[in-house]
Amino acid sequence: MKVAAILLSLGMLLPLAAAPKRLAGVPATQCAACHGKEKVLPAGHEDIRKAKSGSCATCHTGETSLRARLPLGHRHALAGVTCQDCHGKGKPAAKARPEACVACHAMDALVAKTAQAKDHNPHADQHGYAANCNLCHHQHKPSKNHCLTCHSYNWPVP
Amino acid sequence: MSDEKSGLSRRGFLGAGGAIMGGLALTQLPLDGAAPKGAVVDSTLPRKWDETFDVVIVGSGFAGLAAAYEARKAGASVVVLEKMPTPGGNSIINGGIVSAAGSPLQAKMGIKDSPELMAKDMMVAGLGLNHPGLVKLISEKSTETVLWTISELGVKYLDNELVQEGGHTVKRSYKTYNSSGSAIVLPQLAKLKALGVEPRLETFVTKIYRDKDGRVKGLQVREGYEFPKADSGKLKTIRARKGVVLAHGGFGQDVAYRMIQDPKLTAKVESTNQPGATAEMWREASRIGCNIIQGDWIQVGPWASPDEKGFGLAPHFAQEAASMYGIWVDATTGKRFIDELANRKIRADAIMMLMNQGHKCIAFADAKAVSRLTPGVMDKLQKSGVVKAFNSLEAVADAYGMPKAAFLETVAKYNTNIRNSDPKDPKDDIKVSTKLPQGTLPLETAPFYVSRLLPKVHHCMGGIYTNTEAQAMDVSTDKPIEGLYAAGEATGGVHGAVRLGSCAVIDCLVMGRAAGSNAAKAKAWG
Ligand SMILES: Cc1cc2nc3c(=O)[nH]c(=O)nc-3n(C[C@H](O)[C@H](O)[C@H](O)COP(=O)(O)OP(=O)(O)OC[C@H]3O[C@@H](n4cnc5c(N)ncnc54)[C@H](O)[C@@H]3O)c2cc1C
Repeated sequence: MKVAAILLSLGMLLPLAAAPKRLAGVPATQCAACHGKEKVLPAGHEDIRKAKSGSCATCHTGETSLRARLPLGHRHALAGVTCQDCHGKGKPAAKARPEACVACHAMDALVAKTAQAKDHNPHADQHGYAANCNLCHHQHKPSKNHCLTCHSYNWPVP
Repeated sequence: MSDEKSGLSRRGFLGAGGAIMGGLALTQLPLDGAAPKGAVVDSTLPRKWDETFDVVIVGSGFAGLAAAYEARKAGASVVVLEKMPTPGGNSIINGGIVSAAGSPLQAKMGIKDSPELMAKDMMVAGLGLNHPGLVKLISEKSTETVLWTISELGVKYLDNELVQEGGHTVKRSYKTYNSSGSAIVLPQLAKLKALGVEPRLETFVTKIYRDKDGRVKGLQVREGYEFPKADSGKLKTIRARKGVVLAHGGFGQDVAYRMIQDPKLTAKVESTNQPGATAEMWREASRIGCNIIQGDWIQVGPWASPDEKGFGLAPHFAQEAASMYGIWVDATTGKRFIDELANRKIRADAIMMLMNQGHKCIAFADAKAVSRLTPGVMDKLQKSGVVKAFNSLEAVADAYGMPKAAFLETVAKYNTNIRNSDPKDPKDDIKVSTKLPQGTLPLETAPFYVSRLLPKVHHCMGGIYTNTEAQAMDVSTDKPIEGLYAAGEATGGVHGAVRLGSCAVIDCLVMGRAAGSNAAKAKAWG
C-alpha cells in the first residue's frame, strides 16, 4: 500500500493506470470514450466533443501543428480515417498492409516530399525498406527511425 | 516398503529401457511448449503440424533466397522464414562485391585468371583450413553464377570495373551498380514473389525437429516475433516434407556466443552486421547433431571507428590514408604497436588485446596523406566528427591523452626512416610485411588528422559442416543428416581462417542454389 502510494505520488504508476483502452468505431473527438476522466487536452482547449473529425487543422497550423504532438493513429482518426480504412473489415489484422497507406499517400509524392531531407532521402533507400511503411511509422505506439539501426541519419518521423 | 518397491521398479524400468528411452522420457512432458531447455536428445515430434511445405528455408539472405528460388523452380512448395521485420539479413546491407574467376569482364580487360587460381588465393588466406572440395566447387561455379545473376535475376554490375580485394592475386570481383548487396537481394525477392514466394517476416525459428529415425522433419517457429523479445509471437509448427535449409547467416552481433568462440570479442567490440546476426540457430543446429566447425575464426575489421555506426566511412581514412601513408599509434603509450600494412586479422587482434588492457588506439595521418583520398570523403568524416583535425603534434597528444614526448619521438623516428630511405623504395622498420607504397612521405604537414580505432566484428568463417551437395553432416556419423541442408555464412569450411573480400556472396549463391535444388529432389516423408 505504502509503496504504491509513494510511487503514485511520484507519478510512477500513472502510465499503467492511464493506459487507454482502444475502442473501435468511436469518433476521435470523443476523448473520454477511451481515456476516461484522464485530461488529455491541454488546459483551456476548446471542447471538441461536438467538433467535426478533420476540423483540427483549421486551428492547428504552423507552430501548433499536430505533427509530433499526437500519436499518428490519433491524427489519422481526427482526419476521419477509420479502423477499417487501414485494417479492412472484420477484426483488425495484426498490422495494416502498406498498400493501405499508399492508397492515400502515393509513394512518388512521399519521395518528392522528403527529397531535401538531411543526409539522405528516407523514402528512396537502396534496401527497399521504404516500401514497408510499418518499419518507421506506427499508429498505436511511438514511430521510430528504422534507418538509425545502422546509420546516424537523424530525421523526425511522424 | 512400497516406496522402496516403486523406487526399485522405476530403477528397473530405467535400467532396462533407459539406454533407448532416456532422452525420450526426459522430454516427453514439455512438448508443444517451447524449445528444449538444454542440449538433450529430443526426438518428440509435435502432435500436429500447423502447416506443411516441401522445402522450409531459414533466413532470407543471399543463400536462403537462392535456395528458395531453385527449390520453387523445381516444383517444390516453399516457405522462407525470417525473424527480422525486413528481409535480406547481412546480404542486403553488404558491399556488393562478387568474385568470379575467368569471367567475360576479365577477358575484356585482358586479365588472366582461373578457378584454380581463385581456389589457391582462398586457401592461402584461409591458412589451408578450407575444405578443398567446397573451395573447388565454388571457384569453378563462380563465373557461371555471376552470369546467372545477370541473365536470370537481372542484376546490374558496373560495366568496366573489377575490384581486387586484399588477398586476391588478380582483379576478379564484379561490383554491383550501387555498391550494395541490395542490387542482388531485391531482384531475388522480386523473382520469388513472381513465383508466389514471399519471405514470412517476424517469424523466428526456435526449434528443429529431428525424429528418432535421424531425419529432420520440420521446425517450430514464433509467428509475429518482435526482435529481440525471445517470448514474443505465437508458437507454431511447420512440417518439411522434403527438407529444411538452414541459411541463418552469422552471429557477428551475438556477444555471448562469440565470446565463447573467441573471448577477445567482448561487448566493447562492435559489429558491421545487422542486429539480427545472432546465434540461436547455431546453438539449435549443434543441439540436433550438426557439426559446427571452425567457429572461432571470426573476421574483425581493424579499420572501423567508435564514432560512427557499423562500417561507416572511417575505414577509408584509417586504411587508405593512415595505414598506407601514416601510422597507427597506441594512445596510452604514444608508440606504434603493429605493422600498419599487415593483414586485417593481425591488426585487429593487436588492437583488441590492447583495448582489453584499457589502451586506446588511433590512426594518424598528415595533410599530404589525406590528399590522396576520394574527394568528399574527408569533408564528411570531419563534419561527422569521426576524423578530427589538429594544427600541431602537441595538440594531437593533448586531445588523446598521449605522453607527449613519446608521441613526438614516434613521429620523428618514422619520419627519419622515410627520409633516410630511397624515395622510390621507402623503408620503415615497422611496416615490413609488404613494400611501402610509392609516394610515402614524412608526416610533417599540418593539419594532422586522427580517427579512433575500433575493430568491428565482420564475418563468421566457421559454421555447419556440409558436403558439396550442401547436406548438413551429422556430428557422430560424418554422414548427411537426412532432410537437412545448409548454405551461406551459417556454414563453415569454405573460407578457413580468413575470408577474402568478395568471396562470401559467391559462396552463398553457389551453395544456396545447391541446397535448394537438392532439397527439392529429396524423397518426401509421411
Ligand atoms: C557491412 C557488410 C559488408 C559486406 N560486404 C561484402 C562484400 O562486398 N562482398 C562479399 O562477398 N561479402 C560481403 N560481406 C559478407 C556477406 O554479405 C555475408 O557473408 C552474406 O550476406 C551472408 O549471407 P547469408 O544468406 O548466409 O546470411 P544473411 O544475409 O545474414 O541472412 C541470414 C538471415 O537469417 C535470419 N535468421 C537468423 N536466425 C534466424 C532464425 N532463428 N529464424 C529466422 N530467421 C533467422 C537473419 O535475420 C538473416 O536475415 C559483407 C558483410 C557485411 C556485414
